[in-house]
Amino acid sequence: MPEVVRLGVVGAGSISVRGILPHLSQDDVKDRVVLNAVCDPVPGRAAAAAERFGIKHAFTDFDELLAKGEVDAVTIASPIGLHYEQGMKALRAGKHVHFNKTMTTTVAEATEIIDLAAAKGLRLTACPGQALRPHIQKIRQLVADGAIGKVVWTACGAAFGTYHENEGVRQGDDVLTNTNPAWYWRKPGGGPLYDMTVYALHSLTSVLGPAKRVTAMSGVRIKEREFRGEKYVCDADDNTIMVLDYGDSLFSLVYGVAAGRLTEGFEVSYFGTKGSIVGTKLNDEPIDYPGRVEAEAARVGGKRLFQPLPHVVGPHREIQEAHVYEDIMQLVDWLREGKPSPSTAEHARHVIDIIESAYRAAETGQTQTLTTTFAW
Amino acid sequence: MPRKVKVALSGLGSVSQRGVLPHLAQPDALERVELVACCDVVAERAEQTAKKFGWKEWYTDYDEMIAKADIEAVLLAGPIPVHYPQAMTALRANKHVYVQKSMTVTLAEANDVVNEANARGLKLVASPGQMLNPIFQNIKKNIADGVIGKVYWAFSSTVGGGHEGESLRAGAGALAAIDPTWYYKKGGGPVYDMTVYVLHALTGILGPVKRVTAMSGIGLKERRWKDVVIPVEMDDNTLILLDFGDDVFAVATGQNCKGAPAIGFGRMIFFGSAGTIDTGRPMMGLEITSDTALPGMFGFTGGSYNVNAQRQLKYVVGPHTTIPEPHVYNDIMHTVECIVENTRPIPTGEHARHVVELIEKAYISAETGQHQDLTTTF
Repeated sequence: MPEVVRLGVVGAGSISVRGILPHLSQDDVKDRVVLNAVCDPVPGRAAAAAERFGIKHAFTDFDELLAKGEVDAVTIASPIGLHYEQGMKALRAGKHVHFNKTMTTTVAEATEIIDLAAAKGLRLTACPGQALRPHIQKIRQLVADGAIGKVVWTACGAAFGTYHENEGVRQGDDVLTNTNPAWYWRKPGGGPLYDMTVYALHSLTSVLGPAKRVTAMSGVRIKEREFRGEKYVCDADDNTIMVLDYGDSLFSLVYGVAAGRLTEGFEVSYFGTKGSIVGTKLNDEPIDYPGRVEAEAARVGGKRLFQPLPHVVGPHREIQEAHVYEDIMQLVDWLREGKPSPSTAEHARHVIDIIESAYRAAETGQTQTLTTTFAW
Repeated sequence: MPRKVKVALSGLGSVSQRGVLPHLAQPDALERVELVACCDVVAERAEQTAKKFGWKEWYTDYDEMIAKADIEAVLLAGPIPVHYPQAMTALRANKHVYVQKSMTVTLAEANDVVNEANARGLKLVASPGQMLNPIFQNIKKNIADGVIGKVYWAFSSTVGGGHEGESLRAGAGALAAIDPTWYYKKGGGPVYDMTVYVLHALTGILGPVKRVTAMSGIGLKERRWKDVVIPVEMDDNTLILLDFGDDVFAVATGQNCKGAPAIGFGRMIFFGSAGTIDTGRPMMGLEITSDTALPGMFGFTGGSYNVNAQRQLKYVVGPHTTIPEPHVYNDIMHTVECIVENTRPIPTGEHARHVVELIEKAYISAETGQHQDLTTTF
């Protein structure tokens, strides 16, 4: 196992420029991970990122990164629809892989990735590692201890809105700040489920474990979107509502909609026979968990800047997308110390199963039985 | 002075004791209705009710009442599964019918009732008359006028703790120890009992539903009423997804197995591209919040509208504002008005039939795992 993991970053778009590159170019990680290469197909973007963040190699071609990048592992930070193909290539080239959410768009793809990694003895971690979050661990314990009686139903989800059209990092004039978000509105991999609801689904399944069945309704409510004066035809569903079945009359309402947020952030509300957990409150009282006071003090404009996660210390508390950094460091620790992470590809696959099956349920009008599970 | 309508009331349980009977005993109601006959299978209850609330005759046999009593209209307030046979008997005897929610259990029954009433030119009014409420009419108009932009989806929820703890069930005597068992048997359950309110309002505001899917089950396997253990045979935990066409969806939940009411009973939220309308708790006081101004809505208090929804109902005035179930009374007086003035009801049998079909198909969808297309409209 390497002393210092040599990492390649695949894609120099919004998540890399705002989060991954600033985090991994901090001095405090250099004893464990070094950014050796970055690639992006947009001419000049990888080079600009390499220059800004002090990265040895820049490529426009991903294959070249794999061949010449001097990397042990890659983090895949490209549009979701590209994750599968890039993940397979990386594994074939003998690289360990961290996937940003969502790992792949189908269970079949996820299974190929998992099987190939196992066959080659390579490690995978996948975002979002919600199971690492202390408040979710605490909620899991509360639910298991019967704090709200028998859980009867839950609600969670996300609203797409016009988040990506308006992201600050996309409004500039240079290659690092003019990233086009149109892929978020197209198949494969577009839409609010793979992009946002995936967080809520990871949180939910981190607490309740794997689901059994899903039914859904889904469609494209906004057929055309605009970014910086250009119109884009949207074919990825932007309005999906599903119900999951956990068995024993426990159901979960999950939404990824064009707009309209029912629940708090990406948090899950749990309703039981004796009480409820809504957001981070149990029966209207705040739930205590390690790091709560600091996390809440750092809540600015509805956003929690500081996320109490194991690796989020020092300068990382001030940098965006700390949870992505955490999941990358989970892979780094795994490689350096042989310490397995709960941010597993198997958990990601189960969430992909939920999303893919929800779309299939909506299309066929037939409730789908989930085929995957994960260690929980 | 309008003429009085001679009415009979069937089913003298909780909703009648708490709501229908005290409302109809008020002087303004007595100017519009004549309390001819009441009926309940429990003889003691029927007799005591007639005496207490001033009804001329009492019966234990519904068919006998329909055959003998000198009435124009029947008010049906029995358990939901008896609505259908009682409505059919009344219509065949040429009586106008007011029926408590839900109108029937199945679409086939609803078709029979609607067809019989229409064929005979009789008035059929089915609760809940949500669209009699100016507040819901206002929301409907504002949404149609695009005040919240393009509608994306709606959420609605009815969550209760069950019926066994209600005041008129936990007490003693024929009028206050009313057995709630039927709520936990077929034809009971929170969807026919409670979700029906939001389903009437959602469809009243957004129009008929095209397709439905659902998941449903029993959360609490048994209930306790006094010393009786009631095994629960009817689903008490149901989540329904509705498709209004054009990729507009809604959620309706019905649970009576839940302790803490984390979401307001009867709450509806409409999410659009340009705003949100949240009704708060429309069955109680209504606190409407909207991120856009709602033309025609009053009671604005800086960010939200504080409106007591039930006080907006035409007949809910004077003493009726403090008696429980004022919306039921309003629906009954609307029935009386339609009979006297020969006008078409707003809460029609057709609307109730659409909601009955929706509920029946939601259960079928939950059981078969197959989305169900709706065949009715209104």
